[in-house]
Amino acid sequence: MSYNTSSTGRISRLISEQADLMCKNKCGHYGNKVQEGYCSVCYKIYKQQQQQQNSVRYGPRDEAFGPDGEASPGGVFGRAGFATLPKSARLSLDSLSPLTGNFSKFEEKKKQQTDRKTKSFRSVFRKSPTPSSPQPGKKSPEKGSKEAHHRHGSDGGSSPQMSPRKVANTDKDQIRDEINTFLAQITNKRIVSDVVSKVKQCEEVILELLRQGSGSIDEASDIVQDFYKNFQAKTEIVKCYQEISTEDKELLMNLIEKYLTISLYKELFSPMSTATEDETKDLELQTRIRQLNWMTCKHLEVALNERDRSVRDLVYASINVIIGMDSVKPPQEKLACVTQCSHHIIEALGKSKQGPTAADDFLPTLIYIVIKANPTRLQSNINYITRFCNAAQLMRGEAGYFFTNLCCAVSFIQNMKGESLGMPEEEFQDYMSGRSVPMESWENYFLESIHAMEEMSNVVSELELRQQEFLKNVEKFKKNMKDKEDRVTEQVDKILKRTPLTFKPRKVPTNIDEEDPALNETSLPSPLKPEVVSIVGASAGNESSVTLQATTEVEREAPSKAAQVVPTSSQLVNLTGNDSEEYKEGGEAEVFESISPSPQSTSETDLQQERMGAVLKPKEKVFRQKNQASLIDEGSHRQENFAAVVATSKSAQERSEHREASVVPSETKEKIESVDNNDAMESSDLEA
Amino acid sequence: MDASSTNFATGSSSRSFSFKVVLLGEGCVGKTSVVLRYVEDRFNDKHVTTLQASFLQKRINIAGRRIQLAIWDTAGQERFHALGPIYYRDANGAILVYDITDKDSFEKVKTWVKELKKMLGNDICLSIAGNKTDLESQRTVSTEEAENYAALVGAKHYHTSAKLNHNIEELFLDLSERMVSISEGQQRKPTTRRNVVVVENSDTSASVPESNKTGCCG
Repeated sequence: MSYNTSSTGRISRLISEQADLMCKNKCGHYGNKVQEGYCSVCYKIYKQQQQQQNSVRYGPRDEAFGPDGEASPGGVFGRAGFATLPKSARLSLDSLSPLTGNFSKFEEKKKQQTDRKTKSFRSVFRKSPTPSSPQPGKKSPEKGSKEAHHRHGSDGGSSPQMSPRKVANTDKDQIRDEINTFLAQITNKRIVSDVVSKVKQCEEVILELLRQGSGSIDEASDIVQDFYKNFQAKTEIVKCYQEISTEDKELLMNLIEKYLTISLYKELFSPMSTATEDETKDLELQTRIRQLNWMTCKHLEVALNERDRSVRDLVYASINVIIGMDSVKPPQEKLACVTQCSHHIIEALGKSKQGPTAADDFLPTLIYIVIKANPTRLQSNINYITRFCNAAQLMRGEAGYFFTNLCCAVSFIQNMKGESLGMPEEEFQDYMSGRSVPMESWENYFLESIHAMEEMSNVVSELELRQQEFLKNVEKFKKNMKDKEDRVTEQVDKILKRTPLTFKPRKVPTNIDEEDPALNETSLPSPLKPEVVSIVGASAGNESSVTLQATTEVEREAPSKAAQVVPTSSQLVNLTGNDSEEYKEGGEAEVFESISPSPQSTSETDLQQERMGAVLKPKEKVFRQKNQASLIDEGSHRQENFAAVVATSKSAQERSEHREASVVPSETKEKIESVDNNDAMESSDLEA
Repeated sequence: MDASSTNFATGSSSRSFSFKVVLLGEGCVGKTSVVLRYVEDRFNDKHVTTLQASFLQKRINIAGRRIQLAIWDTAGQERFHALGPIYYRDANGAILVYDITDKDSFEKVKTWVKELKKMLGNDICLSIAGNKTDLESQRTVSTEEAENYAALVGAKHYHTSAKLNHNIEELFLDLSERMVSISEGQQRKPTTRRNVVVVENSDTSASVPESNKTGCCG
């Protein structure tokens, strides 16, 4: 470290005194300009101190800037705050430890929140009908475009301009487009012109009425309601309207209502000029509801199961919808909000208890929702709907019912007493004034966290269950594995126990047929006799030839017999003369010896495939040997017969011996060879 | 009441009416059951198609007159008693339900009748329904008393049982007829009408498979 500082210090030695190179803290080490003249150790401490100071100094000031609206993001502001520090310090502070970064981020978030708050506050005020300064610059082009766009209402100059005028205009434009497209579909131009003129007339009458300041909003309401009624009657009676379908008529009425209420919204909604003072009522109601925020489900005997998440979601949805009622303009749409809110409530109630929801459950729940939601300008909205919604429609159908319920809810809230909640009046007043808070409302305050906790505990218990199950499964699996292992080891042991004993001796018989000299010499000499026989055959060539010659002679006498004998087996041919008897006895014994171990081995063969192959060969061989044995057996029988035949024909043979012997042997030898070949081929096939 | 005859095409013989009927009664007298039995023909059934029984509509046809009944359920709790007038504004008919085993519920009916008469005069048709006749043995409201009272105030009295589906249809039908005659009387003299045909209600399509389902479940 000291090396470092000294090396950087050397660069600045030309321009600074020796003392400057030392640490500002006078700790004895060299300082560094980049580190504000501190040594690295002291600089670290200095930095920490700085950070602490910043968080104390700039925290509250930042907040104070927030509501001004021109506040810069926290990060930028933070940097500006350091402007008094030397530049080098700022640089290093900018790229400082993550702690500062986090801090500034936090500040930023905080500011955004406050900004949002102020914005929403502002938007509330913006919506309120307090007239702000007119904007003539904006007004004229809009007016022009409006007139060009449509010949409807030239209200422009009459009323003071509002700041959110643009929004209102887009609404107006939209409904204008809507009504225009609808009217464009109507072929009868008389209807179009009639609708346009009547609506325009109504609009102007109302504007005129309100402009004078003399007419009350109720008069305007009467005019509008009369207009609806008359127009409706007109569409039903006047001839040219007959060509429009009933649905279209309804749609037309809706569009007219929408158009009138949107274009006159700021005049008709919560009017200032009248004695009704909707706005003061709104405020009264709002305060009243705020005072009632201690109320819980229990006070109203609301059957909502707020512990259920889906029910809670529906409750929030209904609260959102009822709050959103203030932001739509046509009365129909406000009504739709009420209906939707009611449907959410009914759904939530349906989930909380059995059976369909009746008014006995619905109304208290609606009251509860209204208290929880505290919708802005509720009274104004209700009055607006009652005044300007088509009365024929309002009282018809579901929307009317739910709206009536909303009116009931508001009325109940306004007139609520201790009695209506089943509590002493003093207690009720205490709650209302905030002197005391009912026990249940604590739950209300912590509702969210309690719900979250409950949900968490649910999740935890569920997880616990699953874990238990999992552990159980693990145990089971372990046991299974152990069982399997045991079984496998047992099996392996069994096999191992069996195999070393039986494996080797079993191999011995398989080798029998292989021409293993060692084995031949030791244990299996006798089956090899056929070789001896072949030698005998060769030596007794004359003899065989004699017999075969006899055969030919026999063939002549009894061809069927001879034909059977000759092709059956090579052994038969070989087993001629005196040796055949010997062979028969010895060979049979030997063959059965070789067979005897094989059945054992066949019973055990199913254990291993590898051994299968090895065992199969002897098995088949045994088969063959058996066959051979039986053949030999049979053959020996025949041989006896044959010998007898030969004996009988010997005398005849002897007579013709010299004449025919020269011819026959070559043929018989060929036959013997070919049969031998066949046999060899067969055995080779089997081995393969 | 012009609300009753809002939608009608002049010149055509068939007229359509839409009536608003409020349903009044204390908490546990079975208002909901009565309405559900009438509109959906169900009682304490898990297969009820509507989620709510607070506002129900039914279309019927009486002697060629298309009638749309909008049945408004009201909250019967005592604490909401004061809200009554908001509910029965513009109502054409009212059905007051009491429980024959509950004397208090009958007393409540009397107060409602008074209120209705005060507010709507004779324009409103009243029907009083003594519900739960299946619990005849536990009756505390005497038939005589109830019927005498109904006659006194110009209301029709019915003994009903939503559980056994007894007299429910008759109750609504009679009320509808009276409402028709009143609203027609405001325009012209009522014509003779006796042939009563109940035409499918709007929920039929939905309720048919439901009834099949119940059959399956047995």
